Amino acid sequence: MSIRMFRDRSEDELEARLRRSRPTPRAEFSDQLLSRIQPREERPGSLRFVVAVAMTVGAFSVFGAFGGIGYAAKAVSATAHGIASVATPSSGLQTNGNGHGHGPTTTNGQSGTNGNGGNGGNSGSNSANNTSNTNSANGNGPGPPSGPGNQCPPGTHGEPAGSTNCVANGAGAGNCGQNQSGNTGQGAGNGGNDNGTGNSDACSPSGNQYGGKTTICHRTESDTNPFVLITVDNSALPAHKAHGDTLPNPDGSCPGPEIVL
Amino acid sequence: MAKDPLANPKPLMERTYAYVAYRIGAGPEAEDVTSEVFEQALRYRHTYDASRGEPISWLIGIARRCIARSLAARPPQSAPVDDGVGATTADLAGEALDRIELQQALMRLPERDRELLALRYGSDLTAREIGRVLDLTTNAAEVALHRALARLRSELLEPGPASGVRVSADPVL
Repeated sequence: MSIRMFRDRSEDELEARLRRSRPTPRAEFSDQLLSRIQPREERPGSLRFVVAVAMTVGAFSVFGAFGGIGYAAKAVSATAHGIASVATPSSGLQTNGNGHGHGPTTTNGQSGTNGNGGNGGNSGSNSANNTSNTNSANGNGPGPPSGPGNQCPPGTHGEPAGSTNCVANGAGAGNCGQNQSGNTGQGAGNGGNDNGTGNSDACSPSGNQYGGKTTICHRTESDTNPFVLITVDNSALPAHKAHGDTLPNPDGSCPGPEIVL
Repeated sequence: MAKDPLANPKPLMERTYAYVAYRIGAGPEAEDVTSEVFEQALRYRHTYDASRGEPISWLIGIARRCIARSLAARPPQSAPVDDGVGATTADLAGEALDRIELQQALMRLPERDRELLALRYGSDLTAREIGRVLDLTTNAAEVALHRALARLRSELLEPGPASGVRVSADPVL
């Protein structure tokens, strides 16, 4: 036991001596060698971060100065809107109503002319915003007769036969078509009124195609054929009236009653 | 990014030099071998695989090959012995003498013992790392170290007849 302890102690002393006497390189050699070993130096992380932030701010400044940010935001918004419209299931028909409001072509006269009520806008199912706004309340059909002496068509509006007290058409609420912005159009395709001057859909450029015209008896100064039926724009009625034109009679014969402006 | 084996080169250089000096003797030749080791390390630093050991083990592997080449090229002669160049003052005279005596005793040992002691006390490898370098088990490396220390002790207490330094040119690889 004691021998082993002596051995261990002597071994420890020898080990310590070996470690203590470990050869060391000369300082010049050490410096020279270390100078040749270039450790990979890394830039401080803080400096890297500052450079990154500065470049980001600079880029945003340039974009902001030239309107790039607003342009980008607009593009992003449009893209998002497009994606939403694609991703969202559409319902209903895709037929945007063009609002063909067929206005009346006749006005009432003394003898009463049945005017067709203006058709409301076509039923439009505007799917852009997925509201499926299918409009069933189109403009009304044939307007009631108006004017004294006229009789309602039997059963058309539920009036008693022979009655002159016709029920006015209601106002149809047609959608206004051609809604490119995706909003639900609630254009009023009005039904024809008692006078048969149904307003057509004012939203559509084609909706008022015939709404502002009147058929009149145009004086020709001819002895054999003194009047001809023509259809003119309402804005021209004063001039035609001054010229001596009249409205046609209910049966279409000329001359008829005086043009009422 | 792979670990750079030379990220902290100073202690690696000191341990490598100590290993080389224990093997072939301190002095210019040990410096040359150490320089060669680090030149190789710089050239092949990208091949270092951290999963196979610490950077010092990798460097010692390079050093062993460099030493083998150096010993093979060396003509039969006495090994250089630390002449105490590192001791710059008279106060260090005793330490320098002690170092010289130890160096001479080491050079009288068989190459294998010198290799083991250089790995353990020069490059500060553990018994496990020594076993990996020499392809031994840890236990076998410990036993071999123990025997090498015993022989060194004998040399220090009773210098052998061939007190002159002998250096084997046969590398222990």
